[in-house]
Amino acid sequence: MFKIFSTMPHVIFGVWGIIMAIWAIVEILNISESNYKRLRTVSLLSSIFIWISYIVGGWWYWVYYGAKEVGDKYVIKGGPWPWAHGFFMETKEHLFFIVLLLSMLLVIIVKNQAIIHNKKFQTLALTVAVIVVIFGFGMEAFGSIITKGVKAGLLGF
Amino acid sequence: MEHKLDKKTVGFTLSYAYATIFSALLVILKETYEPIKDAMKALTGHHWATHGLLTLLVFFILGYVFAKDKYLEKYDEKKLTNLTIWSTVIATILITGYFLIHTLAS
Repeated sequence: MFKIFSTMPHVIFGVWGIIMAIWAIVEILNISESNYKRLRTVSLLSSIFIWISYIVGGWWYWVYYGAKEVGDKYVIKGGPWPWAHGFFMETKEHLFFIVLLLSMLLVIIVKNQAIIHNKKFQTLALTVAVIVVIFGFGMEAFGSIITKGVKAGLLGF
Repeated sequence: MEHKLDKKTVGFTLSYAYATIFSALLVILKETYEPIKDAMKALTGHHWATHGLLTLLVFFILGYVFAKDKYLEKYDEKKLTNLTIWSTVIATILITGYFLIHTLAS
């Protein structure tokens, strides 16, 4: 039971990280002196949530997912959807680093108050936040396929 | 107040580009050359943990290395935006492309 529930924070904090990045996009599009502090807060929260998702997901991946013979990895590889691991999991675990780095980059970028009046600076921050959101949703989609891969391996459909 | 870029933004945007391409190339290297993967595994206990650690190290070290006046003069917001987009696109193609070819071939 602990094994099943302990993976949930990875997904939940990942979603929260995406939501905060979307919030940051809204703040950048409406940037002024009055919402600048809020932009910095939500950008920082996005990075913190993505970091928590990384640590929890990494721990779960290491301890449970790849556990010799009994881990989900082996269930998937022994089932009808081995590509759920071979492509989706392998790609997801490495593309995740892009999201992690960009979430920190966003925090660094919005720290400069020049963003309030500099349109090109706003475009840079917006680009970073949009990529975080796109890749974040991609991570969620890949995760759902990996879960289906486990289900297919257990049920044999 | 001047509405200009700062050294850290330039430094860490450049380091993001380098770190993300480094990470993508490391994927191909460790997956195609087993001794590298074994060495990475030996370092922390899991190759993926070492991969993350190395990528973060590259990001932080290069971030401070590039946070200098000469890079601030060389790069503007547009260049940094393009660099962010293209390094992300290239790294994504390298990683997804490698695993796609590997999956289809096996």
